[in-house]
Parts: sequence; C-alpha cells; structure tokens
Amino acid sequence: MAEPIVLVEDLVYEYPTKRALHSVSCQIEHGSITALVGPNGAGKTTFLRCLAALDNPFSGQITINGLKTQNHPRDVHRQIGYLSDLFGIYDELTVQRCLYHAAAIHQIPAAQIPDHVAKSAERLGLETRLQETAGTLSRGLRQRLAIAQTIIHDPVLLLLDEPASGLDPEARQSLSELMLSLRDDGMTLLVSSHILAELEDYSSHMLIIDNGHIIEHSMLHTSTSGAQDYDTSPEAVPLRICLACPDERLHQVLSAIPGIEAVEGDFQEVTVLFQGEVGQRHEIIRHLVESCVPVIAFQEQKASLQEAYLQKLKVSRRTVAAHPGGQG
Amino acid sequence: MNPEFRRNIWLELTTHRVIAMPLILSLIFGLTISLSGSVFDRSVSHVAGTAFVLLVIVWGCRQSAEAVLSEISTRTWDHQRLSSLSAWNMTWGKLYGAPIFSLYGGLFCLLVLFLSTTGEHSFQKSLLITILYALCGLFAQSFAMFLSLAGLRQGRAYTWRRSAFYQVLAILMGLQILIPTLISSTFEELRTDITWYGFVFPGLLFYICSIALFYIWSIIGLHQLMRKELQITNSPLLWSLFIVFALFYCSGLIKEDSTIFEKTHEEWVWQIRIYSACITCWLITLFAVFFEAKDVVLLRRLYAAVKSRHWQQVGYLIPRWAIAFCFVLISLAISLILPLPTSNAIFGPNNTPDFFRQTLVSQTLFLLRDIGIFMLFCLGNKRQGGEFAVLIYLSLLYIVLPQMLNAFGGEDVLFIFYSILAENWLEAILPGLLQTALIAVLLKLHWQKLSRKAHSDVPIEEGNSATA
Repeated sequence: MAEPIVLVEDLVYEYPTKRALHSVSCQIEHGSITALVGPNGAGKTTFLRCLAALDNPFSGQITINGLKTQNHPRDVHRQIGYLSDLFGIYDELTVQRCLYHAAAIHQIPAAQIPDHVAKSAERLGLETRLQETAGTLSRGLRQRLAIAQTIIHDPVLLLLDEPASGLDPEARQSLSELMLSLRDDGMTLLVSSHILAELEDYSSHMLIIDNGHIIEHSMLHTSTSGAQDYDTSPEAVPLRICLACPDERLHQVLSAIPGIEAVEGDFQEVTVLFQGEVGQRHEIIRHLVESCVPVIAFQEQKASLQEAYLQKLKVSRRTVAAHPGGQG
Repeated sequence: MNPEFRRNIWLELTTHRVIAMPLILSLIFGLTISLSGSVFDRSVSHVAGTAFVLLVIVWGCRQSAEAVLSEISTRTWDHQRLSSLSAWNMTWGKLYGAPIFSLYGGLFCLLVLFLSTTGEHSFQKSLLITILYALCGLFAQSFAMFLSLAGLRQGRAYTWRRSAFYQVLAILMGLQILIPTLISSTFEELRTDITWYGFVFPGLLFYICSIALFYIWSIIGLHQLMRKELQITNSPLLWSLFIVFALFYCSGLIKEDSTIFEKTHEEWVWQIRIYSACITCWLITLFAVFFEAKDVVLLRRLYAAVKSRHWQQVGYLIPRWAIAFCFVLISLAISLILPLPTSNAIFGPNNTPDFFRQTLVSQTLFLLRDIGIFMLFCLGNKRQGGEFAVLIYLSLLYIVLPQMLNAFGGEDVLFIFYSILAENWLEAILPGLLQTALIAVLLKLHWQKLSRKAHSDVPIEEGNSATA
C-alpha cells in the first residue's frame, strides 16, 4: 500500500486554557479530496494550520509526503499550498504582480514564472484581469486570486479553509470544477467548508471533527450517475421500494428475501436494508414480481453528506452524554 | 533579485516617488543655502542631518516596525511564512525593502551632509560623521523591526499603540548619539575620547564601531526571530553569545578612575566590572521577559521535554529570559566568590564591605519576583498588553509604595522595597525572599487553574483515530 500523503499521529494542540485537538490520528491518501467538516470551534482551522506547519502542536507527529512538520517545516511549506479562511492579498499590486510574487517566493526559476502566472490565471479565470489592481477586485475575484496564488507552485497537498465562502453560485460551481481538475493533475486536497452540498460535488472522503476529536473519516462512494454517496455502512445498503397501490403482503414478502435485514414503512412505500452485492439486488425485484406485488419503483436511497454529517454528529454527542467519563 | 525586496520596491519606489524625493530635498537644501547667504556650510549640514533623522530614523523606524505588523493586520503574513524563502532572504528583503523609500531619501541627505561638512572638517572626519549618521539610521530601523518581531511573541494582534511603542524605543536608540550633534551642529561632542578596558579611543571612532557591532547583533537577532516565525528552531547559543558580548562591552566602560566609583582603587576594578556585568544581566533579563512570549503551552512543552530528558528540545524551548537569568546567577556567584576589600574605602563610609554583595543577592531576588509578576499577569491572559500592566505594578512597587511609606514616616523599613538601604544580610535578603515566595505561591495557583481549564474537556473516544 502506498504511503499516505498525510499521516497524523496522536496530535494534541493546546491553547492556554483549552485543548483544541485531542490525540488526533488519521491518514489521507494521495489523490483524494477530503471534506473537512465540523461545527464552529470544532478545531478544523487549528488542524489545518498544524498540517500546514504554521502552528506547532503540543505533542504528536504530522508527516506530510514523508516529511515531519516539526523537523522540516520549510520543506513541508514548499510542498503544500494553504489558503486561510481569513486570507489577505497585496491590494496595491496588480493581479499579475501578485501572481509573479507568489511564484517568486516559491522559488520558481525566473524563466518559468510567466508560464506559471499564465497557467494559474487561466485556471482561475483571471487572464483578462492581470493588469487590474488587486484592491479593486470583487470579493469573488479576490478569492480566485488567492487560490491562484496558493496553487501557483503546483503543491502536492492543497489545504483550503472555507474556500467558497463569499462566492456566488456560478463561482462555486467553477470552484468545484477546479478542485476536480487539480485532483486530476495529481494534487491531494483537504477542504474545510460549511457548505456541505458543495463539498458533496467533488469530495472523495469526509473527515468530521467535533470538539477536537475526529468522529468520522470515511470514503464517499461514487454511483454510476457520478453523484457522491455517504457510506453509512459498507455492508448494508438502504433501498426504497414503492408500489402502485398498498399491499398487505409487502412486509411478509420482503422479510422472506435473503439479505434483507430490516423493513421500514407502510404497505405502499418501504425502505429496506439490504446486505449483499449490487448484482443480487435484482433478486428482490424478481421475488416481488413473482409474488404479484405491484412494484413501480426500486432505487438505492442515498443519504446526503449533510444528513450523514448531522447523523454522525448526533450519534457522537449522544455517546459523549451517555459516557462522559469513559473516554480515552 | 530577492522577491521580498522586489515586492517592496514595487510598492515603495513608484516613478512619482522616485522623482519627487530628490526634487523636494533639493528645494529644501536650496532654500537653506539661499537663506544662509549662498554658503554651503554648517547650516546646510544641520538641515541635511535633521532631514536624515526625520526620513531615515523617524519615518524609517515606522516603516520597519510596521513591515511585519502590517502584513499580519492585512493577513498576508501566513502566505509569506509558507513561502520557500530562507529566513535570511526574508530578513534582508524586509529590513532594506520596507524602508527603501526613506533610505533612498536618506542617501541624498548623507551626500549633502558629507559635502557640507568637508569645508569645516577634514575629509576623513566628514566621512566618519557621514558613516555615523548612516549607521545610526540603519541601526534604528533594524532595532525597530527587531522589537516588532520580538513583540509578536506577546500576541499577534496589531495595535497602533504597540507599533508606536516599538517605534519610539527604536528612535531613541538611533538618536542617543546624534541628538547632541543635532542640537549644536558642531560635531564637537563626538571628539570626546572614550576609555574602554583602559584603552583610549577617539570618540567618533568608538561610537561608529559600537553602533556597527550592535547593528550586526540586531540583524542576527532579527534573523533568529525570523527563523522562529518560519517555524525553524533556534538553539540558545547565539543568545548566550550576545549576552556575553553585552557583558564584555558594558564592563569595559567602567574606568579605573571612574567618577561614579571615585574611591575605586585600580586593583578592585575587576570586582566592579563583575558587578556591572550582573546589573547588565538583570537588564537583559527584564528586556527578554518583557518582550518574550509568556506562553503557558510553551512552558508545558518545556516541562514535558525536561521530564523526558530531551535536552535538545529543552534548548529550543527554553525562554531567553531564563538563559539571561542563568547569566545573572553566574555573575552573582562570581561576585560572591571574589575577594572584597577589608576596608570600606570603595563603597563609602556608610556601607559595609558586604554592601554590594547584599545588594546583588537581594536585587536578584527582586528580579525573580518581577519575573514571577510578569508570568502571573501574562500567562494565559487572552487580552494583550499584560506586559504594560505589569510595568504599572512594578512602578507601584519601586516608586509609589516606597514614597508613600517614606511620607508616613516609614524610612526605617524602606529596605522592604529598596535593598540598597538594607543594613545587614537579614534585611537585605528577607524582603526579597518573602515577596518572591508569595509570588511563587500565587503563580502556582494560577498555573493549576490554567491546567484545570485546559484539560477540563475530555476526549470522546479511545484512540480518537480514523483512517479512510
């Protein structure tokens, strides 16, 4: 198995009167886009800043692309791009000079800088605004410029904290496309955002942080339609079945089918939890048709990222409430 | 070209400014010449010197102090910290880049200063005066940036008060030698010879060498602070070397026939030098404790490193004030070991031979108390400016309370605050010891409270780990 690009081991971060991260461990694979989600004050920004080697953890280790952040902070800085939620740009400089400076401070050879500037500007749709002063740009364009500066040196790992805040729907859409194109170019992305619907469009993994703990880190499935689906359980899949008219035999017929673990709903519309291969699902339809149950709809029920996130958060907090002292 | 230097040139040296600066200065100098009867002499050098001070020291210090602070307030600093620039490139790019416009103007002033002094002084002296001005300006700017970076350790929020405080300190440092020459405009003050370790140096040359040395140290300090900003660890070696340098430099200024120690016999001068070293260490410790981060998390990490005997880590984490305090203890120990004169000839008729020893021990205890007060008010304090509050409390302890005690007839117990008034070892040590112990107890309670707060929320699940 390939070495993960990010390896976090027992990371603890403390503020003077608060422990912000509690012995956090996780790993992020190359080429993934991980959605970092959690409530306000959960520790997302602190986590990202530790990964970016901007803040020193109290204890624990972070390895980025084989480099320990505490031992080789500057080497790590060269390999990553980090955009803070509260970023700034040099308002007095033109867009071109902002990008030129960003390329130069990442020690891109002078001869290659114009190419990098052009490529970055093109990726973010800024090629027509190169001569405009950064201070005159709208919020959305400033955001794009900030992202362009962050990716100008082609980092292997891109850490983005709330990159879509303040962007209009069209800009968000193009941001999603940019994320996927960066991933396709070989970057690994970790994106923190509160806009879960948008994360759903491009994320391959989800990392939930609450109160300084990682409460979930899962892969998101990609269905044939291309949409992401949150994997609540790798074994059981929820399936929704609708009938043309109520049939009292529905629950009885379904319960008899191998692989069906639970049935919920009335006599016309039910959700069943099916454990088995995708190829075995047609067995359910066959059984229903052979039993003359008037089935008109059969589909996998997808939990949205938001639903899954809220569900995980609820479960985690219930656990804390039930066992306040039983934690490691 | 250094990208940070180039960025500053883009921002500061616009075409308009490049043309306007020499134009305005030419008009000022031209007006001065016409008012002084078309003579290119002392009045012109006075104006050139003043213009240099205003441009390079006053304005330049502002630009230097704000170089990083403004980046923090406009939130571009993290972007810079994540760059691939080395700490040295970042240091000089900012040091000479941020005040580049004032330096540009300063060059014209220096040229005029040099030319206008050649009529009255020799070529060599004119050159030395010009170099002195240039060094004072550069040192003030570098010291302003050093203070602002050191101040970042206290807290990263930008306030104009903090920035102004750093600027004023740096301007005073830069002006300390130039002020008399600016007032008189004769440069006669610089002719006074200086004795250092018994060697007599021409004043002007000694000032130039001294400022050049402190300028180099300020750049080294700046580089060390920049390394820290870029998350690179620093060993305590350079700081220790600076303390040794400062002790050596300051002790050399004690003269055998000093008017301060007018009864000092030549054979006791080394004892006096050790005492002066101890006092220099107190000042460096106070400077460090004022400017350095009073970070409870850092101290916890240090404690953990000591417990696990990771000495290299201890070296990286140990506060600079603690290192300076170690030097206080070393110089104090040497002071106590060195033989003292049996007569009271040195210290005056009212003091016992032990007077200096008592004062040094007692004052070291007071220093420990003061460090404790800084920690008490600044550790875990979310609001910035705790250091300034401590300065007010210290002024109460050193000025207001003793004066009140004196006013109410408590002259006999003033030794509680002024160890210099103690008449025996008990009076010298007991007040400092008790006050230090009291602060230590309060500090321990404060530390425990902070630790309880930090660890009040407990982890959710065992291991708290996840992999995709």
